[in-house]
Amino acid sequence: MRQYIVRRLLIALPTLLGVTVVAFLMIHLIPGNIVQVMLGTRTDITPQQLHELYRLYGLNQPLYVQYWHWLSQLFQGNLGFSLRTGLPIASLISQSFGVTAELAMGALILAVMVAVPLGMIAALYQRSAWDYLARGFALVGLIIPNFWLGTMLVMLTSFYLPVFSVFNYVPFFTNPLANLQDMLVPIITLALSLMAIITRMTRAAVLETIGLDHVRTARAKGLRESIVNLRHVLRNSLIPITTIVGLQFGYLLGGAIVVENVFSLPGMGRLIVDAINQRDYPVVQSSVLFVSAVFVLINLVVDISYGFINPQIRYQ
Amino acid sequence: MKITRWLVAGLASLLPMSLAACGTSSSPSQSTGTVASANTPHAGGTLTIGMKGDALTLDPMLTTDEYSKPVESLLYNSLVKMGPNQKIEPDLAKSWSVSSNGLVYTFNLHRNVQFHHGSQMTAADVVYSFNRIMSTQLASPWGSFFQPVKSVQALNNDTVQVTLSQPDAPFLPVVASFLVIMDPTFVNQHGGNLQRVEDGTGPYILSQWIPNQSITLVRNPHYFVHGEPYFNKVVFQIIPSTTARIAALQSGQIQFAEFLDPKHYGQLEAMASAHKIVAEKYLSSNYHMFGFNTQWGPFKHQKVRLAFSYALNRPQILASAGFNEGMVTGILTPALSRWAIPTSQYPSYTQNIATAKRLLAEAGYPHGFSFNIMAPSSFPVDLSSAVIIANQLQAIGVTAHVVPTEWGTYVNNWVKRSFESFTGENGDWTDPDLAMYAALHTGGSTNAFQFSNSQVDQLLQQGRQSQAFQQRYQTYAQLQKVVVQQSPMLYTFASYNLFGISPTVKGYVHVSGSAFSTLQSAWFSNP
Repeated sequence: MRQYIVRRLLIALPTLLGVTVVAFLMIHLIPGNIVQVMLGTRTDITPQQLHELYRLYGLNQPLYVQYWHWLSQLFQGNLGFSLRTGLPIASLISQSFGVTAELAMGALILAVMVAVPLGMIAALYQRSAWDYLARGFALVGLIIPNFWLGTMLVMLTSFYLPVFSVFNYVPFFTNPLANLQDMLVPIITLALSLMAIITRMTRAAVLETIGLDHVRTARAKGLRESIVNLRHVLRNSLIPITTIVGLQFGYLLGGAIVVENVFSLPGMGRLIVDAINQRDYPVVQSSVLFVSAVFVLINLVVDISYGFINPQIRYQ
Repeated sequence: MKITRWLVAGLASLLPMSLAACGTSSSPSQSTGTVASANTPHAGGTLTIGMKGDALTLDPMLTTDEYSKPVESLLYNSLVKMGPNQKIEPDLAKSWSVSSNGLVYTFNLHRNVQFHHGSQMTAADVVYSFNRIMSTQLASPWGSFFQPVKSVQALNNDTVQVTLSQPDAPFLPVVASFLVIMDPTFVNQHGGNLQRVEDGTGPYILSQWIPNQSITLVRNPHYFVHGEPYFNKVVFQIIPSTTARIAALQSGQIQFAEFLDPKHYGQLEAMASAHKIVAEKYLSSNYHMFGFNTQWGPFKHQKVRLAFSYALNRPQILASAGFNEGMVTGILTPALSRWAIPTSQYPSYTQNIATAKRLLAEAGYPHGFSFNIMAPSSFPVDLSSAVIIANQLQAIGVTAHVVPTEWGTYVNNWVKRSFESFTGENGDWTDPDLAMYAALHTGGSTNAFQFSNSQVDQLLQQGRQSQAFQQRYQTYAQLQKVVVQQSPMLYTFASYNLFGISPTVKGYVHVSGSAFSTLQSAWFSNP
């Protein structure tokens, strides 16, 4: 197992190196640079001043020099400073990722807590009212786009539940209650589509498992129905559910960007989008690299978790 | 069941706490007109302002973004400031005089003005501030506006004399718009980097800045204007989503916000009619325009550009792209009422397809032509304007392709003059010279149109050097007509800016271009 983890981490290194090249080139190759965006179309500036600004931001150097400068800083554990705000990028990412991670984790936990029991009930009571209800709920969850749901919830809570219409983010460890006020509605918004996916996946997986030989054997042994369902049906259905949850977490980080915007949360989405708009090169590059590293790590965690769910799976 | 009960109890316990956290209660106001009230000012309370984005810097001499300026305007003062009627008013200079040849300005400063960190403001600080904004090392994007300044000297602790190399009528508006007075000791202590720190003389002091979340300012107890400011705290809360800002106004979390997208005005006005807020509309000094690259193909011909002016139905553009929330304008918007001439004086502002076709034929394009309009995709009004303009130009046989362009790319093309035409906005200037010189003078730094006309150059120079208002007014009146006739760009309309204000906020007076600085003299009716 340890060898497997080390090997996976070593494979991740060239992947992340590739990400640095792509992130660097993409932001530098799109037209417009930080000086042009900063000055806009209204400022009255002389060529000398312009030259000074290019020198100040290091844009007078060739691209490969700028890339190497950034990379060598990365190897020293220094993500650099934002060109536009002067703030250390490490602190910007830690603040913003805290919000996004809380949103994504909250949505994931809520979705799993609701969707797994719902999917299981739907499968165990197939073609009953419960099944149709669960499937209807899953369909609605898939249909409703989260930007629309979010916008509706923003307006509705401001009228009828102002206690949950809060736009002043407070970190969980500073004030859990205030944090809950701020995060509950965004988490529900983000979780809905995931709930739908997991409900459908759980239902399908349970239906598949329920007819397998070992389940029939367990029932024949006279085990109670609840024990059969939890120990033998659910556990064996967890592999596809875990895969989908792991994959969806990456999408949740992406979906969080939309929800962050609707609810004005200061997360990674806002950080990266603002930095792209302002051509704040180091912030874009380091943030993209960070998110990629998180994605790689999540995939690794999902792969490792298979072994715990199903001891038959071994890593070589 | 137990869990449900627990949840309900939990939610019920949260409710009063949240309402208490909302701060001031908002009693409905019967007033539908100006917010200015005859009530006596009260000190106290926290004013929370909803902002679309976070400030990028606190160095006003380097600020180019729209979100830093509101914060800086409450932290710093200049020598003079713009008043509500576009006249210059005293700020840190209690009075000033100008020599008869217009070359020497002498400013008499207020005494006992303190910087936020405690040191006394003197004439030497004013000299330093002039030198800082003019220094090539700082590379201030506003530095070139001070090019006419030959020397600045402190005559004594309270008097500063500025000598210009040539008469420069917009000098005082330039000082009001771009110069702030700084403490050299503080600036040097921070190695010249004022991006995250400040030591101004303004009504509020920086207390806390949580990036991308909020900026909190506290009252300056030593502010030189007696009694002001009135709020104990001013919080700039970052709420990028317009819907969320409207919701925050609705729930009372914020008490002041500016809205620039006219499609939301109906919603805000509905809230105002329900007495939830006071919705104040002010005509912007920004204008929307359709600009030409006058060095490109058919647009080299003045008659083609004028033909386009005749072909446009500006009220329709205003109605469709601007939701009728504004006014048709020339280069100087009606917000600059001292200078702007009525649009009825422009013959080409009345749509006349026959004249447009005739002009096009005279220029050698009887069957029209096709071209691209670059439109900024992040500015919905300008994008919509481009679509409507393209549609209207079909009537004269011209085919326009709208190219939605991301802002960074748009600016890059604009800088490189790599476009055939574009829609965009410009303005927010406090003087006609600032609005026109750099944009229209041959080789002007913002003359992306590459427009060159000797009569326009001469009138611009004349307007800059005249001192008397009447003389300047005549010059700019003539200039506005010539520019519309030459049409390097076609001005379409100026939008209203809408401010959603809690009815409890009193004493707010709007000054175009300085919308937030005047909050220093506003107060809560029930602090």
